[in-house]
Amino acid sequence: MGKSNQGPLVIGERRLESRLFIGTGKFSNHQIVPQVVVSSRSEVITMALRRVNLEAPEDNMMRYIPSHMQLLPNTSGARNADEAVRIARLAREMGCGNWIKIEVISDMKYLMPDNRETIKATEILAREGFVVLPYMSPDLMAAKALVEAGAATIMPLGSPIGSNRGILTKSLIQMIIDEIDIPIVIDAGIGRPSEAAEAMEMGADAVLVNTAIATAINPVLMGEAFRKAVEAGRMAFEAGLGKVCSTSQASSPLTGFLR
Amino acid sequence: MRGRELDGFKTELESLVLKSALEKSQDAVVSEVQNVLDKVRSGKSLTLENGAVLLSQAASNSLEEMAQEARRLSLNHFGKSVVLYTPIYLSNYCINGCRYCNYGAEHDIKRRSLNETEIENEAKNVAATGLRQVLLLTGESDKHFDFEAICRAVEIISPYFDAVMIESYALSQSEYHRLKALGVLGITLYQETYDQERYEYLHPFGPKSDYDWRLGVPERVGNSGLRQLSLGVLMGLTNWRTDLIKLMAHGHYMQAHYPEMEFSFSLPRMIDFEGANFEALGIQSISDRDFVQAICVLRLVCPQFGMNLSTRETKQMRQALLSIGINKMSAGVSTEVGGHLNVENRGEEQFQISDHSSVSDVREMIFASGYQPIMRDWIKF
Repeated sequence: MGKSNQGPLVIGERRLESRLFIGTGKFSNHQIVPQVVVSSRSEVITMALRRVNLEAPEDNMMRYIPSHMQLLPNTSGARNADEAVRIARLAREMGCGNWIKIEVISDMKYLMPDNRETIKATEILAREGFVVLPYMSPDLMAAKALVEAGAATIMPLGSPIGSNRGILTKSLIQMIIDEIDIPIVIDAGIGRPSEAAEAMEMGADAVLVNTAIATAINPVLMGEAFRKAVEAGRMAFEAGLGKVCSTSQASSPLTGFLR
Repeated sequence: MRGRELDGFKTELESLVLKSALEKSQDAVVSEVQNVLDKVRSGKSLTLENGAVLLSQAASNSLEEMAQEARRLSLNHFGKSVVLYTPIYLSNYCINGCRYCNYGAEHDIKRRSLNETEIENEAKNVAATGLRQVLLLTGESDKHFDFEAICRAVEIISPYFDAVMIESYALSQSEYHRLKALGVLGITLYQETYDQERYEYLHPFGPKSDYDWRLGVPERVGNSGLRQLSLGVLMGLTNWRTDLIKLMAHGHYMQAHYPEMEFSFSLPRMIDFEGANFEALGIQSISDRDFVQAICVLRLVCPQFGMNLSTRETKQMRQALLSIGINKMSAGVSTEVGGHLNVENRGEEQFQISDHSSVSDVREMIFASGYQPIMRDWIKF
């Protein structure tokens, strides 16, 4: 238990009141996005740079993102570190700021992030002054390597992206939460608010939810539901529920008399 | 697994697994259909044999259930987004004898290729509609529109778009490699039919009559490092259930060997044209119900694959299939050579399209269906 994650969430010197990150993909209309921003009170929003269309006013999603939001462009489409680095640099040139979510996928069947390439890209981009938020397969050793490489947060997946299957990787993520000192944002797989609450109860610093909000019948209401779940889960963690350990904590029923 | 011999899928096509799947598509029973649907609901991947069960006659009674599951998987993978593109016909010369096609060499139609100025004007006019992705169709004659002409067209057109895809006659691996170097994003190539006997009957002469050369295209594309590949069959050339199983087998094979590639399917249905006698050719007309079943099964068996629907289908069908799983559509389509130029002498169209909607009409239709048209889905980096 080498960390204290009881304080406010700070990433790249930005203090965040909301622990719910949202996305722009998969919505039926960009016009819903600002309403979801309001209902979810999210402050961080991710977008695939490959879909950012600055030239066409009606299709330009950036127009619909309120200015107080922290932009988190992602490198969707990158198949290796080199491609992720090039997309990240382009994002900065296009005016999307210096936060970057690294997404390197070299297997389109399972869409699992390639940790090795992600670590490489993180190292290069952190050196170039980016605030790097790498999306990764939950593996403690890879998480440590990402910290070493200069990541600002670690974003382990709960289950395969878009699967809505919840936190299937719970025990692996718990190790990362317990051992890694930088913020942990659980990304991908969270299909319902109760799972977001579960992530926060585990001690995650934040969650990123896109599919479950974007494809809901009422995305605005779902954004609010996720906000409340994230707040409740965080509150429970701070209230003391959150002391979840992967090692056993003996309650000493047999040896208590020795004290 | 890379660098394998180029007839890899040919061997698989003749394998035992495929044979049992083909039998399954004929004799599956209702309880088997329900078991497979339960498997889908539990989030497990389907095998080819599972897919065959869903393609069976027995499964056609469970079409609504299949459509619901297809919709769920489509939403999870692609959300409410539909990528738009348009085809640009560069040439309609043909040196093949496809018996079912209006463009075939023996048909006396108005032929032409666009010259470089026309290609540039065509590109400008298409780009002015807001589209950022195009599919270049080269015709099927390397005598009239050779590989160098294709490369030149790519160089002229590329600056106007984010993504250029090519549908051409079958090329060699080094040619695909060169297209990749020119910035081409992907290739569309229909096998037409996987039934070799039918294929050889329907393509009696010309380079396209070489079944194996065409069957090897996906692997040559994969080895070249191109990112995207669209596979398909022309539904109706032979028993569609059999062809679909082989198409899915091809999809699985490609995905296993080229995991970094993005794949999609397209399923054009045969459309009769004046002068063709489909009955005499043994070509089947595909009912709407069978067509929808085919789309659902492709989605359930290959949930990560994109699904493309052409303007051969009516506006109503395109709209209805959006909610089941189409995530890529053409818009503002002309199948004439020079169809986006303001000229009199256009080359004749390849087939009659059913949906003549402009780009803005298609966008409106997609919005009205609760989906979002995506003009840009790629960025050159």
